[in-house]
Amino acid sequence: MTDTPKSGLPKVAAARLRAGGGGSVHPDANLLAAFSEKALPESEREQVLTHLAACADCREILSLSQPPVEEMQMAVERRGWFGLRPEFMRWAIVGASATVVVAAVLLMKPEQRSNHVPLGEEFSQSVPQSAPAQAPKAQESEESKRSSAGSANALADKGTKDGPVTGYLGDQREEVAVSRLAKKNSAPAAMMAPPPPAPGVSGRAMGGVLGGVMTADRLSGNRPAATPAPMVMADAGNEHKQATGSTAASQIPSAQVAESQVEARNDKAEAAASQGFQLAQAKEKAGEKARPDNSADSSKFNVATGKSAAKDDAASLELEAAARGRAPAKATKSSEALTYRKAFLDAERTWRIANGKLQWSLDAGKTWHGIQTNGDVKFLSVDARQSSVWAGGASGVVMRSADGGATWVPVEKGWSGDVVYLKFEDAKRGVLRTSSKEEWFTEDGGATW
Amino acid sequence: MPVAKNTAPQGLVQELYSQSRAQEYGLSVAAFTRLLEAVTKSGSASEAVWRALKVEELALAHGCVAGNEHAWDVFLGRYREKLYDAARHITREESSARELADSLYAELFGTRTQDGHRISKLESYSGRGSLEGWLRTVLAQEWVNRFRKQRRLVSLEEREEAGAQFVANAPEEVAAMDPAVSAATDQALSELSAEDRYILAAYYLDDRTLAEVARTLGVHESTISRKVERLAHKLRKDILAQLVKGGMSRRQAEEAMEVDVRDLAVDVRKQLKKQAHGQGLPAPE
Repeated sequence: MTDTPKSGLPKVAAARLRAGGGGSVHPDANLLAAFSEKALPESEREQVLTHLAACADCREILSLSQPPVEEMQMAVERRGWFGLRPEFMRWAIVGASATVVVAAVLLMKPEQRSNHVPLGEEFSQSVPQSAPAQAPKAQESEESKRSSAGSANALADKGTKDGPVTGYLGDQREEVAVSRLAKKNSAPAAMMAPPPPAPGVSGRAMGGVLGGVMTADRLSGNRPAATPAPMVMADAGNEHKQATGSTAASQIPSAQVAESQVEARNDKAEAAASQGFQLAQAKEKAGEKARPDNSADSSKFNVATGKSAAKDDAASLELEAAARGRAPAKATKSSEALTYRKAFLDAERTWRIANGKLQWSLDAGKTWHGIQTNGDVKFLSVDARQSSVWAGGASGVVMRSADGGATWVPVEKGWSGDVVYLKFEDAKRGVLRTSSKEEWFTEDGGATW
Repeated sequence: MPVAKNTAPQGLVQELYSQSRAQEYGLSVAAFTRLLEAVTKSGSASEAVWRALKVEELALAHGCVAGNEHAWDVFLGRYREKLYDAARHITREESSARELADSLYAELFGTRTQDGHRISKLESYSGRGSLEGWLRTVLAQEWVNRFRKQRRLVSLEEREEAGAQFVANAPEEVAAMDPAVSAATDQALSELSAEDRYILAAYYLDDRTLAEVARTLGVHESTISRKVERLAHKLRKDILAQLVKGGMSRRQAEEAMEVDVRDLAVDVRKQLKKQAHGQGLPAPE
């Protein structure tokens, strides 16, 4: 994430801002916490802000007390994108949706339709402490990349009474096996996995798992490399859709997702998909929705989960509509049955270490997204072979992901020192070196060293 | 609907009581009622306010205050790890995190007693925000107000013992800002909303990232980005206009806006150093 250089504020303004006395009493923990969670009435909020504007200590306390990214319910801007009122946004989206229909149809290839994955369980109304989603990042089309602004990044209003809606699968969700219509006639698997990245349906509905992580760069204005846009994918013609659709429906409690019952019918599904796609596109065109803000300083090592909130505003309605419509999954090259994770894994992903942080890019290094870790793990080495990623860090920390970075497990086999070198020459054979001059080998893909 | 005398209606109390599981945590209806009425200031109490409280967490916290074992079990199960995680996030260092978290636990548990009554910090939780958010904020406050300052003091003491000598700090801003400039700037700043001033302070003075600032306000980073740009531009324009209106030329005004009084103070410190050196005294830091 790159901030613009901090120029622009006249020095005298900085000086006077600095000199402005706090004056008022420091807000207590109750006030600050309620402020953070948008639970204060406007008048009190104003008072707290007045104090914060003048008190560096309280600003620091506020900043330090922010919750870890993946547990945060991201707030959506109440006024919608670009300050437009929600009502306007609705019409704008409806109007804009018409323009993207053709694009959606053109982009949709027949075989892609079988990749539609019912939204399923990811839209459960989980509590704020819902486990960090382990939803994989989905591949996405160019459109979905852009639409990721609104898509795949569920934002929850902290204060919402409806609670956050997890837009992505949490770790309770099952992967959804989606078979290509043309190739397989797979039984309705537990279609609970987040759908492949569709051109972002309702960003709000789409908990950005990696929304958490992935949006870091988006927030900084970089075009998201890939945004898993969990959308209910209408699997045109696929029978399992029906099962999954209904299952999905039952799993989606929020206002948004309540509507997201995957229409079991092919035609409806397709239409819905188109609509969703359109809506996603419209959203993209309309501008960015608030997305999960994910800076690097967060805790869990799993991919962050963005959460969306069912709100009564237009965004919710948009989400409802979007939820009804499902955008087609991005075409994958493989003709095998795909899980969402596999779709995620197929995406070309490059990895790097930057200042001790583990980062990945889906656009050959133009934009990077960070992996959040629990505590301050300093990474020193990374090696990725397709979906298998190994990362080594200080104090013997080694983490391994088999799904391209969506979920990680720690690996401890007895080495000591900082893991400064990790390299697999193929799927089986790897070498690990530490700062204490130890060298470890594996010939079974890392099971034993 | 405003209620006279901060009295919670019985029906509402019953509803919130069962919602809060207060009975489970050892709180009677009467105690719960007193709690509801205590956390809302008189005059601001209303059904909406009471309904907006996190009553379950409130009951849990006060169950812990009362020493209810089940409440403590629930509390520890729910918040123990989060507390340590939050402490780590704040201190960025394992040992400090432990120290900070343990210190807070002691205060939550209540190691002090008064009139036989254990004093627990949990008593001050009002239920307006989540208990987790409150715990994180308390941790952050402890860190900023107590731990960090102690560290600075310890560091200074150690240096003193090591023989370093300290001269009293030179005044930070010896040269006062041109009154016309400060007036124009204050005027321009006063026209901004509190939120705008907060954003500018957090971004420019605290050097936070756009994302960090956005997170504290629960908005999108791009919102902050746009605001920062717009505000900085507006301030510049307004201050300039004010100064030009006051008689300065545009160029003078632009120069005046970019004078950093701290730069002037640095010069003064240089002078002090020169003088001290000339007299064989220890130089100022």
